Amino acid sequence: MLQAIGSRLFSSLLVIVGSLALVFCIFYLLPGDPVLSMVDPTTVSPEVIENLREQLGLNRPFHERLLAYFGDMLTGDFGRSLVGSEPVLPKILHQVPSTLLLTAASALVAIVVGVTLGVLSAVRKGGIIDLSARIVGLFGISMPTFWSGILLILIFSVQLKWLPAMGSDGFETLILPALALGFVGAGSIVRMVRGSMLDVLNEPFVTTLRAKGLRERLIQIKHVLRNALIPAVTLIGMQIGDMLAGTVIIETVFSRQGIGRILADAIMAKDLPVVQGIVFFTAIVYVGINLLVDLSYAAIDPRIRRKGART
Amino acid sequence: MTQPLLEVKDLTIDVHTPRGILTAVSEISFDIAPGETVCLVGESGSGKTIASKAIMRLTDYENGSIAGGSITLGDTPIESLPQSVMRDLRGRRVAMIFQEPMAAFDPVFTIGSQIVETMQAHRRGKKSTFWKEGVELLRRVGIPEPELRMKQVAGELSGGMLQRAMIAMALSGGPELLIADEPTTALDVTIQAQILELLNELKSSLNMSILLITHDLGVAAQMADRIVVLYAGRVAEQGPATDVLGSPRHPYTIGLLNSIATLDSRRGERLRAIEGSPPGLAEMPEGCRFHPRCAFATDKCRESVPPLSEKDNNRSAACWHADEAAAVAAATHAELTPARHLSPVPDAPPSGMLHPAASRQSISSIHEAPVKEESLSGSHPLLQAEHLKKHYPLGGGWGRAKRNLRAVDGVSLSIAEGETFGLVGESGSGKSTLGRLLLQLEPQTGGRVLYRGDELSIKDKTHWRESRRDLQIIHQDPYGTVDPRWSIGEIIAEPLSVHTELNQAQRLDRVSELLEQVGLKASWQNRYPHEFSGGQRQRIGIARAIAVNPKFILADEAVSALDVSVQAQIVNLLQDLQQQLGLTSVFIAHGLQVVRHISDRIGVMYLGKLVETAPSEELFRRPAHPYTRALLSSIPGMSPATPESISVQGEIPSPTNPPPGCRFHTRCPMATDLCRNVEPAFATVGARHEAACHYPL
Repeated sequence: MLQAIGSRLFSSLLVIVGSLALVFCIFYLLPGDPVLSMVDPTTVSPEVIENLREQLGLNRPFHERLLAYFGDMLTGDFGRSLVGSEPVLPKILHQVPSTLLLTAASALVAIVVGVTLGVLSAVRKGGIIDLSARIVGLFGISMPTFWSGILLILIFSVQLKWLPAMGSDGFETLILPALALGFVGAGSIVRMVRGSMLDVLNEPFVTTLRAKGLRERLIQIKHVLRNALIPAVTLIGMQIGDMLAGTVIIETVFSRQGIGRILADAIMAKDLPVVQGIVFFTAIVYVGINLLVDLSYAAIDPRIRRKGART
Repeated sequence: MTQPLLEVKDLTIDVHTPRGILTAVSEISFDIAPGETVCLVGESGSGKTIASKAIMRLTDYENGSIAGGSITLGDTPIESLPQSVMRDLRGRRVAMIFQEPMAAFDPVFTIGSQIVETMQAHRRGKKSTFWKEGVELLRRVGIPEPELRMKQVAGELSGGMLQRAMIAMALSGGPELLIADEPTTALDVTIQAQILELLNELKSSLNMSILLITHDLGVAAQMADRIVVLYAGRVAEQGPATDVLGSPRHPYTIGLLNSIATLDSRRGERLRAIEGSPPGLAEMPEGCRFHPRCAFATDKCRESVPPLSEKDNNRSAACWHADEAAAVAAATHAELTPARHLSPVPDAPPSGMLHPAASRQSISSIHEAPVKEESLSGSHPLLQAEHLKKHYPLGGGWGRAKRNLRAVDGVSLSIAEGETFGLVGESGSGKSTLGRLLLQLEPQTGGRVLYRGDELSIKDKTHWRESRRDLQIIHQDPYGTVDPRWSIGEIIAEPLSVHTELNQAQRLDRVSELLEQVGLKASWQNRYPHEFSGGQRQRIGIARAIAVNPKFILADEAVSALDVSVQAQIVNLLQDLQQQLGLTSVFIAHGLQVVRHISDRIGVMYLGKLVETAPSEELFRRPAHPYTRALLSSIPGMSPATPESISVQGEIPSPTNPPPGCRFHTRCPMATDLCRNVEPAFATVGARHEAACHYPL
């Protein structure tokens, strides 16, 4: 088990390093000069611009820049923003809680709605619940978040005036964005859980459970759902990653604070250090989610647990 | 007669399908007395499983409904009980075990928690008490280290162990009736013998009734007090086991008994197969459902359903011509053989078990081989294996030790031109791997394969490709091994375009010829595999294999998945083709009687080693290796009481870590220190008879 976690951690490290290097390369190859977007070349002399390049290390060769960059990362130096010259790390850390909260709330919506509807529709196959769950699934998958976000604002803020349309203070402001973002995940989770429940319901062991005289509810929840969750957990993990990425759009739509929003701004401004900092952070969260998914496999399925433990 | 425990009367079950309501079981009636074993015997589509599920009302969950008749357990009318009351009966008064023990346990819970859960569903009590009770139950059904097994999940136990655990779980409610749905079909013959013995022992010690569902008449002969033969959803015949097997009255029962290869059917002779295949639910014939396949059928049979008419001695047959059929059967029976394997002798014990003397006699009465063998021993070897080994590496990495699964571990054998060589052994013995190595479908780890004296290797691509024309294979699953989107004409013609110069028109002619040769219609070549029945698909597989006039055919469990009556047709076809085309073949199967029937010589494998080879009759008459004798003793229907028989305990060890010395010593009743330490050489023990045993029998 420990060995398995160890090897997972090692590959996680590779993912983080790889994604950082990738971002660096993309910015290296991107046309345009970040210095020129910092200063106005018509008013500033070429010497000053050259000095600035020198200062930022932009005129050094690729490999030196890459090494220096990783060196800085290791020492916790994420550099300063090219736009406001403030240090990157505090800037990101300040925004992280808001984004994590939104992602977690969305994940909760997706899992609760997705798994519940998935189970109900599988158990009542062909009924009204099944039909509505499948419609929810269809809409969740096919509707883009910016569209469902705007729709939610129109209905619940503009028309009904129940909930605020923007801001990041308090629980009320969390509800609409979490619904908009969670709905997408819920769509695919419903479909996955439903299909997987139906598959498991056809397994011969379900007949055994019935032949033992167990209650149908017990069979469905204790046995069938647990088996059906094994493939669904993979999907849920990927969905949470998608939701983290989705905050870029949703935070903008709902004018929320968060790293999604500063990421959007930083990309526009070619603010490399900020983008790199955010990628670093996102990669860590993403890898952490994957680790959790793997661990929950082991919790659900003893076969995986035993395999890991075998020497 | 005493009050029956279970009474099924005129039971009719409908199945709701997207195509409409189909009747799976029509007006079947039978009953089971306390402490009695009744066997429901039938082929696929006979309704035997659905009828057994209806007794538990499990059909309700599978789109089935009881459309008529009654099921009475003691005084309880089961057919009308609400599910909530039914639930209390299940697992407590009636318990059930299933065909695939591996699939019948929830894979993510421990065996123990699933047994405890059953007790909790019916009784109040502490979990720890139930757990202890579970350990005792596992011990009771002969599972070693029960405390450990309770904590394991299904994937960690072997099939035989799981079936024992399943039986333990079924016993946990103290049932009056145990329904066993093909409980040994998925198991090896040695394990099957152990499980059947366990069931019999439990039945008598707990005074439990057993409803055993099986397609295997041998199992029925060994277990049943009474037999109910089902065909296409109706009872064809029923009565005491001795009577039904000894003097069958329904042409279907007669046909079934004729079509199985027994230990004394004349080798090389055609089996008397029933034509055609059992009908599907949607295409039930009018009148007597067996009439399209019946030699006695008249207009009356085509028009009206024969009633199940009582004869005497509590036996009945649903046939308009039962007396006629019985008379013909009795006549052929007498002419056929002095001691038919499955016909119980007059004084047989009521359990239907064969009289010991009969088994001995049936072995000694095996007919001498025809002259073919003499001519074979002189002919050239076509295919030879020299110290052939196949090890599959397992695990490794991350500090774990690398291990090898020794699937085939040093096998030498020689197959003469024109010979049919049978390979038998339990699963895990390496017989399929050996077959694939002989054809060089995968590379060996060591040793070599010679074809007509030249080395054949998958690595020598040009030579290997040429050899494909001569060496062909027939698979177990004829559907899984063809492309479902190709018409059967295209499937059969493909090897022709690879290996021959025939043009399109010539290929079409050849395909038509082949289809007719295997008993299909030439006009069917534009049809697709899913339009055919299992037996027909196997014929297609055979046509594909013989299309390029091969010299050698490997038939890997080619008849194992087929219904008994269809199996006989395919065995006949294979034998005919072998004679017509002068084929040499290796026939791998776990059905020992079929292998005996079709093979000139048989090799017995155990844990990657060949432990004995001998001409078929010789092997069955004088098995030299204890393992061979144990295998023969496990054939159901053979009485375990014969003094010559050896019952083998335990299960085949893991091929990753085979026992030292003789690999069979862990299960051999005759093992000595010599066996435990020194591996016996493969030595001659008689004419063309070799065995690897220190103490050949």
